[in-house]
Amino acid sequence: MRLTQRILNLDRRIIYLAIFLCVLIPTVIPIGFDVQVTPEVQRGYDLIEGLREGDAVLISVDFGPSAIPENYPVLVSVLHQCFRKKLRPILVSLIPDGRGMATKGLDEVLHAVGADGKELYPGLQSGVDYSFLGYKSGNNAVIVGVGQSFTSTFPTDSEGKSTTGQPLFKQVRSLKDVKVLVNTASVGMPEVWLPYGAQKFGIPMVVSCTAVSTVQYYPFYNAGQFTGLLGGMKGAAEYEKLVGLAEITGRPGKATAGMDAQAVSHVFIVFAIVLANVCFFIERRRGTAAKGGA
Amino acid sequence: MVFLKRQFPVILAFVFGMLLWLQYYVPSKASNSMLESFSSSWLITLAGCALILGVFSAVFHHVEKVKARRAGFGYSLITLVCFGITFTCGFILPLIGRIAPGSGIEPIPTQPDTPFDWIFNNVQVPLDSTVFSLLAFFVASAAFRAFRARSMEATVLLLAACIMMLGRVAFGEMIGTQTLNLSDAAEWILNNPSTGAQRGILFGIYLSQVALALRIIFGIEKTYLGGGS
Repeated sequence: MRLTQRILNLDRRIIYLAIFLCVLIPTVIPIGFDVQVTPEVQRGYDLIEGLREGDAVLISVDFGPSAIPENYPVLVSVLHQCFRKKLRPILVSLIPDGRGMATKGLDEVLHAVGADGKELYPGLQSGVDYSFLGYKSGNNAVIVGVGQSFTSTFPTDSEGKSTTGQPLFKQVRSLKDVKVLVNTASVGMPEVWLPYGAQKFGIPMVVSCTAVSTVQYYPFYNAGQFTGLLGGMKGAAEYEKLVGLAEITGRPGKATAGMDAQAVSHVFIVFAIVLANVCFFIERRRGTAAKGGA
Repeated sequence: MVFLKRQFPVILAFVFGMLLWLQYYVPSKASNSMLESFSSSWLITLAGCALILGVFSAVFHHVEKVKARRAGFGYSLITLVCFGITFTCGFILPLIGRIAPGSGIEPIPTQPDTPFDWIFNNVQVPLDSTVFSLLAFFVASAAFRAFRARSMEATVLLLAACIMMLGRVAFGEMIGTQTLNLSDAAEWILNNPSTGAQRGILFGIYLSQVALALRIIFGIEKTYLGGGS
């Protein structure tokens, strides 16, 4: 068997092993590639950065564990940004898995310590400085509901406390009082939030989505319906860079750390595609030549 | 019975469809109050019922499979056991905690240290992440085996894919000049040809959604009522 044929018939386990090493080595020995911030991410960051102290930011956590590498770092970065700027994030989830992700993210940021070992955001109170309303089924019905009233749609928060008397919801009564809507989603929820929430009440919207979904959201971004678009792990790494997560916590963010493995894996896949195509053309030419000779 | 099965649902779809459609264009207080009543009670209750129906449907499906010892019933058994444990931790235990304060069982199901969250963080998160991470291996293998420049269209797709893969990582910024590199090329693809194509697809999807909604509201589309007599 010729070399080109051997390459074309390469055992898939060798490719699996190569991909495994492409992920493992940069994870264990970080390369530290820098990420270039794109305008889509910069605009989203600037929008939140331009808010005033006490402004409410609604964060809809609509992703599950499968999208942790792409969406979770954005959730953490946005929460850091909100608490650093003394904004008041309100978290909701429209998918069951999102509840666990929001709880995890909120817990991580509320107990985060800085590079000096001190607690970053001491004294923050649920219902005053932030709130997590939990998961509620109904997608657009929930969005329409919070457009009318937070407390009637979510009578209790995720801790089971009544939302009616909470100081946060005395000032932020409905979606109309929210300044920015952030949707971290691995499913098609941004397309539901857009007409029923953001567009209806004129709230600027920032979307963090998985890399595969990014393409489908560019028309919304280019039409100005999404102010910011954070696509995949790269978008998350860019946001971590803008928020300055490494400086705040003393260690690089999860997306930034993951970009090394992603970069090496992508290069390997491109190399594999080019190699396979070169072999394919050599084989095809040989086949054609053999047929012509016969 | 025929009226209840075939005509009543169509009347309901027409009345509520028209009501909620027209409401969107009437910004009066009465209209908004009607919407609030619908969204905060009716629609969310209906969605909750649909969820419960889904859970029951899934449970019955697996119970039947186990009872009949059909092929792969072992997986159904695992599903039922996992469902039972998660349901107990997420619903029954907090409920007991609420009924009997001071019972020592955390009444709040969303604290990170409850059994339900332990299951989520230590079982679902690793399992879900593992299954999803397998994609990287399959994509790499599939790309190597199937991604061939057999035609002009396939070549364009292949080139765009390579530019995107390199352009969305740090290497993209290293390949090219200061003013134009692969990352810029990837951005251009996303903002121009890709957006154009996606916009066309989205227009098609949304127009067909409007058409389908109108067909349901006016009783032309009745397949959602189910078949048979």
